[in-house]
Amino acid sequence: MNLPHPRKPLRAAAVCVVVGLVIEALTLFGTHPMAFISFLVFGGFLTGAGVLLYLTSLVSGWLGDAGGG
Amino acid sequence: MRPILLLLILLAVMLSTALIARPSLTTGIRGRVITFLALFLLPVLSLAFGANLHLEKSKTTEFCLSCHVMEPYGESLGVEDQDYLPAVHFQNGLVPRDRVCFSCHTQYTMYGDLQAKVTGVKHLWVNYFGTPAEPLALYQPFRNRECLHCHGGARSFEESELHLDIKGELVSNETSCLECHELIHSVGELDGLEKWSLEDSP
Repeated sequence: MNLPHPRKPLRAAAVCVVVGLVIEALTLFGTHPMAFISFLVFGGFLTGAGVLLYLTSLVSGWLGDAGGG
Repeated sequence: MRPILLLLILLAVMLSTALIARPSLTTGIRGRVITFLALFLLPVLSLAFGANLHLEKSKTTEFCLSCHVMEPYGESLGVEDQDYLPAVHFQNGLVPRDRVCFSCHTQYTMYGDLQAKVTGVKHLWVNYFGTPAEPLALYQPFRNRECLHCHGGARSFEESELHLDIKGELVSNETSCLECHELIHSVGELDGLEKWSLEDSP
């Protein structure tokens, strides 16, 4: 599907957030150092990447609006 | 706390999935609010609460003893000999049984300084990809602070003549508590010793 410019990064951000949060949820059932590491490294990284993508798309949207007058 | 966190995560996943399925939801004021909730507020809250939950879990006895290399240390808690310090503390409930390791090792790995945290990550690496040292040893001598945060001020400690004579040295860490109370985990000598377990209690 061809999405207009602002929606593509948002969709990618949503995918990252969903996968990251699912990993986070799974680690919450474990009491083991690997659960902790998986939470931080995989869950945290993906969720963080999703949030950053979202914030970047916001900023680029604003910049685009400002540039477009 | 876990059920609330799982609810937060579920909500964030549902909203984000809706955004994936219908990107047109991101338009309009309502859409922007939903996007902000799904892609910022809820994930950030989930990360923060999740990290806190994992940190709390890492203080538990179950967490510490979940690594194979720590099993003998768990076994030492059940030695049927009240001269063994970890055993007497665990068996008599002098420290919370579900946080028995953390009660005496408060500055270890995640709970110490940056160097201690790096060491904690190194422990994991060695546990899964290397060969743990044998026998295991603390990086720094055990500090009396760990004993005195409970025993300091306790009548049994303060009125003991042996302690009175060297109280200053104990507080300043000049003399280690373990110089006299020397039976600690002694994991190399556990074979053949009688063991007690919580199930043995009437």
